[in-house]
Amino acid sequence: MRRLSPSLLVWLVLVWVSLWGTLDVTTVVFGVLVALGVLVFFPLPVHRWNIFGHPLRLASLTLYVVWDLVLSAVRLAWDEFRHGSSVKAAIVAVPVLSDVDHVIASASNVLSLGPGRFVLQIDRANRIWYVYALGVRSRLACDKIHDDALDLQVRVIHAFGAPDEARTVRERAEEAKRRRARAVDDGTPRETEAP
Amino acid sequence: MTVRDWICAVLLLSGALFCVIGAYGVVRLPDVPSRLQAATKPQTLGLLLILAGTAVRLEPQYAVGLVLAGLFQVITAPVLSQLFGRTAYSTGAVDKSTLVTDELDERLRAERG
Repeated sequence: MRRLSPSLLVWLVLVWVSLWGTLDVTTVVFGVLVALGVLVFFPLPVHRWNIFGHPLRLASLTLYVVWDLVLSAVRLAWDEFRHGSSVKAAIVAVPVLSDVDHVIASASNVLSLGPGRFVLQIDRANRIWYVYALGVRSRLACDKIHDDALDLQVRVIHAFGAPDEARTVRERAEEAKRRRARAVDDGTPRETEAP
Repeated sequence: MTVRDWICAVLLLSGALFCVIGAYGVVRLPDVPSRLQAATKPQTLGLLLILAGTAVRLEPQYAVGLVLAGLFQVITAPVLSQLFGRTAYSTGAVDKSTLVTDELDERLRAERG
């Protein structure tokens, strides 16, 4: 039998207790039974996910996500009212900075949470994300999406990535930014706003 | 009105506002992925605000359930939008004329020939 993850067990019991809204012995005992049942019948691959390893970085990531959520919701609303059905979008290729499945998955979830963009496709073998972003009207804005997605990954990997990845991630992000073929910044975006 | 009432009212009303913005976007935006953004994202924020507004008025032990509802919304919304978005892209429901650039298409073309 697979090794049962104690942290997952605690988490499931916590969810159970909060669902019932009462904290007493009977609820906890049944919670443990249900959690054991879930873990035995629906086993998950065992991995070391150090999600609370850096509480401060996790808190800063959370704050950043909440702020980003509000900011992009307002921006998206503005785009809707101003441009309506002629709003422009883009699909941008972004290099993935991690090689750990659950870090890639949670980073793409964090990115997709913000209004106006989501990870359309993950090319796992070549480590590329294809990010769809709404409200993009020039090539320069595409470059900004690219850089923002990289910065977000840096934050996520710092918060709960593997230590060896977290140490080098900042340099690798800067390297990836340098390597991108950028739109020429001559003051006028190549493709201007649609009339 | 107490301070608590004011906080509750502000949270509930701004939450409702974001839900309306989401609904408006579904009508106004051009294609599936953009409508998907309008349908899922401002509503996530709207729901979170409404939950927070409700939690302010509740006894703490009932508010825990609302935290769970918010948490699961935050975990599931991006997964759904990615699944729908990818399906929309591969079935051709993306209006290519709205795209400033499509680096996935460039890549697929390069691979094909």
